[in-house]
Amino acid sequence: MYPSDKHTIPPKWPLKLLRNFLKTSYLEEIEGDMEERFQDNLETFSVKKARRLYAWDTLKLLRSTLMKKMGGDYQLNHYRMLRHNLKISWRSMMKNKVFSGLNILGLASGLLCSLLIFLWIFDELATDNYHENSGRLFSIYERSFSNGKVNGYYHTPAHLYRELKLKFPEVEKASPSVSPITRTFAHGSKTLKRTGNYVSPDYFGMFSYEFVSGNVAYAITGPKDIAISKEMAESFFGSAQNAVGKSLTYENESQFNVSAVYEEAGPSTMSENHFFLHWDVFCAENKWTQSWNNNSPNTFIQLADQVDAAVFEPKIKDFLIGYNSNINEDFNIELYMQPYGERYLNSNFENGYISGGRIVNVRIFGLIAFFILLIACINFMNLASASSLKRMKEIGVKKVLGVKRVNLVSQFLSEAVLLSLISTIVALALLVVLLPSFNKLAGKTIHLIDLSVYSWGVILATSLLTGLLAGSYPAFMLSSFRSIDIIRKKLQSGFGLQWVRKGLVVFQFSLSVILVCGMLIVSRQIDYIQNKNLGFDRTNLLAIRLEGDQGVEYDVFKNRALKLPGVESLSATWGSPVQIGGGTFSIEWSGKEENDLTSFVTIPASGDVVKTWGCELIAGSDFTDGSKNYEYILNDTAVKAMGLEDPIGQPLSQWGMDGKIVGVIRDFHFETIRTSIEPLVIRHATNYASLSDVLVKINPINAREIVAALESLHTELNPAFPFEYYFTDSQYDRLYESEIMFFNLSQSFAFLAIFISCLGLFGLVLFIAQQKVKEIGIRRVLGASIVSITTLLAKDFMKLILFSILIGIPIIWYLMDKWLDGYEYRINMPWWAFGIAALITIGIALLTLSFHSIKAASANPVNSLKSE
Amino acid sequence: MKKSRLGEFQELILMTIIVLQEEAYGMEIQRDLEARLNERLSVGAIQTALKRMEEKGFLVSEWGEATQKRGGKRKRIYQATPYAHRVLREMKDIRAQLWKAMPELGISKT
Repeated sequence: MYPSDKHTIPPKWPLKLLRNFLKTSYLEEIEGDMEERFQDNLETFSVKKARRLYAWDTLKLLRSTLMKKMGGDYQLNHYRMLRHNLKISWRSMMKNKVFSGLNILGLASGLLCSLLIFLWIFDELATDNYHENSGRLFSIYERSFSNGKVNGYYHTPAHLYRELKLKFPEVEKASPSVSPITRTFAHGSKTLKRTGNYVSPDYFGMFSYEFVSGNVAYAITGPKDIAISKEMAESFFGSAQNAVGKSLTYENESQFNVSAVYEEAGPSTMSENHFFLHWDVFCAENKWTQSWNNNSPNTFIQLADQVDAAVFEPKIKDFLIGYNSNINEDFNIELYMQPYGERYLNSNFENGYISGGRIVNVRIFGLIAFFILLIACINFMNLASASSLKRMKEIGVKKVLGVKRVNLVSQFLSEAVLLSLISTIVALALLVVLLPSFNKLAGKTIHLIDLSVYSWGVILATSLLTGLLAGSYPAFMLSSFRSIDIIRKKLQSGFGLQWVRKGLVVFQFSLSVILVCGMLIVSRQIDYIQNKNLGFDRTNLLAIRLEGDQGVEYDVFKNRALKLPGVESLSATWGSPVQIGGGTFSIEWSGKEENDLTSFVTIPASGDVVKTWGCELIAGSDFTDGSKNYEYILNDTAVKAMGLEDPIGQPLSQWGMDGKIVGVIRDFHFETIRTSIEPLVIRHATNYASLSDVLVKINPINAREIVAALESLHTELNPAFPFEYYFTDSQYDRLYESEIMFFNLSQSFAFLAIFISCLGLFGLVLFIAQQKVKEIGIRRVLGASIVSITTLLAKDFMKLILFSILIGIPIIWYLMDKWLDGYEYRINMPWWAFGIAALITIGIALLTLSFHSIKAASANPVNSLKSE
Repeated sequence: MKKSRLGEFQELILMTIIVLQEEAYGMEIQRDLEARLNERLSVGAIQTALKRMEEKGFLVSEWGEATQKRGGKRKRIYQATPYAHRVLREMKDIRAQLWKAMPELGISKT
């Protein structure tokens, strides 16, 4: 009509929507009006906005007055069929209340379980992934090469962040950070401990935080600034608004000014940090940060816009050459980058390369969600195909009257989708009730309100897909019968139908056996971890932080504490024996080869360390307080690594501190038992200021009084610091948090799987008993016992269940063997677990089966026989 | 009057149609009303009102010309029925009576 190049066209999809839904007689007029309006809008707005307005106006046109009527001339046949189908579905649901109830219950439990897992997965995926600059944030990691061994870790030199930013224009911002550290703060009469971190001024520009008060840009500009969390601001100053500008006393010595109050903007691994201080503060406290040879803090960088990370990464690879004086032909450290958002889920290293981590749990739970949903779907298929025998006549009559197969399929599918939607609503209602306890179990803070539209989309899609999947088998199966066979009742017990039904039951129960058995084995391994003799006695071992004047007064504290009844021994260390980490090459002993690069784990400790930790002394003696010489105690592995024949009295030097080996202890586990025991060197600390914790071995009988006595002693000697303590075994349990959570969740899910499977079984027995009601009646009249009739009904199913167990056990054996291989110290495959799992499954199935069988068998035969 | 109540918005549209006479088609009504009310309206709101009023017998309509701006689609010209005129007048009377009946005080207060 007119040249199209001068004519901007409105967007296509709204037009399609209009043509589909608007009454045909209104279409031309309204389409014209819309077009005219679009052209009008083009004069005042941009093309983009005009198009948006067009789409928006289109959506507003979808009103019942203007839309095609669901009747009369403009009738949508699909709609009418849908309404018909829904009506029929509803009627058949109402007719079989028990069956529909079982169906909905089964589907709802399956959906509930997968919804919970979805929520968990969404939260895991969102962790550390919500930052505005997410695409440009990277975590630096190192790969060290020595003796042909490659190691990977996130530990970097303390000043790497500064140098990277100085040397590379591509690095826009950079900040270090450390593991959260507990410090004591005071304001007025209030003294509290909080965990927090030390970062560069760039930190708040890189990571997104919500600022409650104070200025984002100036959060930490100087070494006297402190940014604190809303929680910390409220506990000190009553409100976040009051906090800014106030001063806080740090460790009873220095003052910091509150510059900003922040709140986490999403699920974050940084959420433990309640304060942020300038990195210089950390460096002043830790002299080792001055050396480029020491690797401990993490380094994060933000690349400038438009910088391609893949191009930039090789540039930093050899950066440490020239900085780290240890690097030579035999030893090298290279730098690499990992996108910050990926770190939370992928933080394990294998041969220097990042390989998985939490992502494994995400995948396993994803699979569990899928399988449980599948079990629920199978339930539905089974019940639907069984009960459909009753609806054969309906199908036959419809076919005779000319209903096409497509229509039958859509009828059964819409029935399934309807049930699935009802189940979703039930599941969501249950979810609201169960979410708080789930959060507790999984250590999350998920709220339904925070869910994104995307998440709701996934939930709805799952529900619809479940319906379609569950309905697919009955829909296609039932609609395929020939009407003549149906009417002549030739299909009463179609062979094909039964075979599939049996297959489904076997599949369902195999999965249940797998889940139950897996849960049993995981629980054994966790039990093993928790009760394994670690080589030191972690029970009744109390840890108190060494701080303030206590470092100076440690001797006084120790002497007075030992006089308290129930205190058995004391020793100060840096950290605790539950988790000793970090390694050094700088250990010299007589006979060390020049290129030997054995890495030793080291920990400083004061007198009585062996006695307090409860380790076994193989040779030599414990440290004694007051000795001014450098002394060392080694573990068995370290002695072997050094190749020393008679270690006691031999010279040893760590970081240039020449001393002697005074003792050898038997190996003990000082890290998680996922890893093997490494060579350990315990150094006698003469200067208590370098130690962090006092470990106190106490008599458990009057633990409460001892703790109270220690507290009053601590307060007397060290009034500026609040008394805080923990038991080392609770710290040990925390190392295995993810295993314990994994176990708790898998336990719930395994039982849910069995429960759903049994619902299905129950439904099938119910159905068969109904089918055979006459047969049972006649048998009863002829003198059959209740037991023999129950056996008759249950026998076939028991065969199936035994078969499922046979299938399930090899699969779970294979899977669990692989899982256990992830542990350096693992249990042997407990064969009894398979037996127990089999017994549990058989037992529950038998209960389910007999429940209705007995009822059917003991019914009065007169009732079932008199009707004809 | 009792059965086919005229909504406030519908009444505005009806009057606009009478004002616009031969030019009374969807977009023109909308443009005119938007200018008078000084707010943006949606096509959906106008169309719904038009169709409802047509159903209730306040309006009759017939096809008009097609223009280039409309992508070659015809306009639909609306015209108020005598019944609509009568209802409008009735409503005006009722309003006038109410205004008269309102005490002076109440008016000056608002």
